[in-house]
Amino acid sequence: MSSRLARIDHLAVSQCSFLHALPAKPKLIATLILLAGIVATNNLRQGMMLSCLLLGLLFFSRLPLWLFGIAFYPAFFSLPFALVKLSVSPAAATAVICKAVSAALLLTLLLASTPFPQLFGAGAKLLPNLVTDALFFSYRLFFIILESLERLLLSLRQRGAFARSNFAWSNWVTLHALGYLMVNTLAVSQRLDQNYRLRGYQTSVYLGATSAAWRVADLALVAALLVVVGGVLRFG
Amino acid sequence: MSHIHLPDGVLPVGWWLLAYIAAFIWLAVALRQAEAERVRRKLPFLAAMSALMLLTMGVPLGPLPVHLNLAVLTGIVVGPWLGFVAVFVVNIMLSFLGHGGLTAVGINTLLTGLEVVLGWWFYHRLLLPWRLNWRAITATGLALLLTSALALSVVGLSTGIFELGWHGPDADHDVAIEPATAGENEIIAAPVEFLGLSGITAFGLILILGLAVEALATWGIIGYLQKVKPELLLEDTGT
Repeated sequence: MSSRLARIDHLAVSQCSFLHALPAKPKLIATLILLAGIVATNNLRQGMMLSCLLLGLLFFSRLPLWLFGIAFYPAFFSLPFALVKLSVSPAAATAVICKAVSAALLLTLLLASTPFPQLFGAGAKLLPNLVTDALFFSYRLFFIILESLERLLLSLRQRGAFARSNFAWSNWVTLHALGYLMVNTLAVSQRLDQNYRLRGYQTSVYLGATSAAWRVADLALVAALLVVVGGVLRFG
Repeated sequence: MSHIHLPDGVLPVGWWLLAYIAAFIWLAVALRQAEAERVRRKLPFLAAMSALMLLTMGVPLGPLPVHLNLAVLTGIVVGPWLGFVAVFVVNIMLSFLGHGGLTAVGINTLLTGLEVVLGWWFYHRLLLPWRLNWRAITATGLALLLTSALALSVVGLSTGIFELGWHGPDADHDVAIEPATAGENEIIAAPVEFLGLSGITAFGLILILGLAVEALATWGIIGYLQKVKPELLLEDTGT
C-alpha cells in the first residue's frame, strides 16, 4: 500500500490531462455526486453504467490501468456481502461487487488527479483546522518515515537481524524496530513542526491564494454530472 | 483490528449517516476537551502516530488475514481525545486507497476511536497497578476484544452476513448450502474456511490471531519505549 500511495501521489503531480486541470473543489463535489450515485444504484445495469463512465474517465485522463487493480482490493472484501445477496439473484450479488469496485476506482481517480495540498485544502471548509493540519502533517510524514523504514530494514538485514532459523528473535527485532521507528517519527515530526513554524505556521496551514470563485465550466460539469447520475438512476 | 474493510454501498444509508454524525459529534467533543495550547503542541505527536498507523495498516502479516493498527498504542501515547482525531485522519486517508469506503469512515472512526479510548483507559487507569508488560498486553487484548465484538455485531446487524457463517448442525433451517437446494427465501451459506476450520470457528480463530498479534506488537513496542523514551508512556492528563 505504501509504494502504491507513493506512485499515486507522483501521478497526481506529474501527469497532465483534463482531469488534472480541473480545480479541486468542483472535482470533490463531482466525486461526491458520483459516489452518491454509486451508493444509490439498486441493480447491476445502473452499476455497470457508472462503472463504464469511470473507466472512460480513467482511459481519457491517460492514467495507468494498474489504478483499476486497486479497485479489486475492496471487491475481495465485498464478496461476503455479495454472497448474502446471492439468494436474491446472481445479478444482485454482482451489483454489490460492482458498487465496491466503482467507489474505490472513483476515489483512486480523485487521488491520482489531485495533488494532496489541493485535495486537503478543498476539504478544509468542512473540517476543523486541527484535522486539516493533521492531514497535511501526517501525509508528509508518511513519506518521510517510509524512507526511514526502508533504510532501517536494509540496515537490520545487513546485520543479520532476520534469521530464518530463529523466528522468535526475528519477531523481537521487528518489534524493537517498530519502536525505534516510532521514536524516530516523533523526532522528525517535531522538527517538521519547527520548520513550519519558522516559515510562519501558527494556527493553520496556509492553503495558498487559490481562487474561490467557480468558473462556468465547473458549474456546467457539476450540472452535467447531476443529469447523468440522475438519468442512470431513473432510467437504468 | 476493529477497522472494518467495508466497501461503499454495503452498509445501509441510515447506518453510515448516523455513524458519520456520531463521529463528528465525538470529534467536536475531542477537540474541545484537549485545550487549544496543548493541542497545538501535540500536533507533531498526533501526526506521527497517524503516519505510523497508516504505515502499519498497509503492511500484510504473511498468511494472516489481519494487520496491525496500533490504535491502543496511539491512545497510550497521545491520549484518548487526540488519539480519536488521529484515527479520523487515518480513516480518511485509507478510504482513498480502498481500505474501507468513504461511507465507512464514520463507523470505522467510531470503532477504532473506541479502541483508542478503551486502550488508554485500561492502560492508564484500570490496570495502573499492574506490571508494564502485563498492562500492555491486557489493555490491548481487552480493548480489541470489546471493539472487535462490537464491529462484528454492527456488520452482522446491518448486513445480515452472519447467516453465511452459521451452517452447522443446529443452523437456521432457512439456510441452504447449495444454490440448487435453496428456495426462494433461503439464504445460501458459503462456508467460510480458515486453516481447515469453517464458519464461526474460522472467524473466532482469525479474531484470536489478530488479537494476539496486536497485543504482542504493542507489548514489544512499549517495552522498547520504556527503555529508550519512558516519558512517552506517561499519562499527560488525558490529552
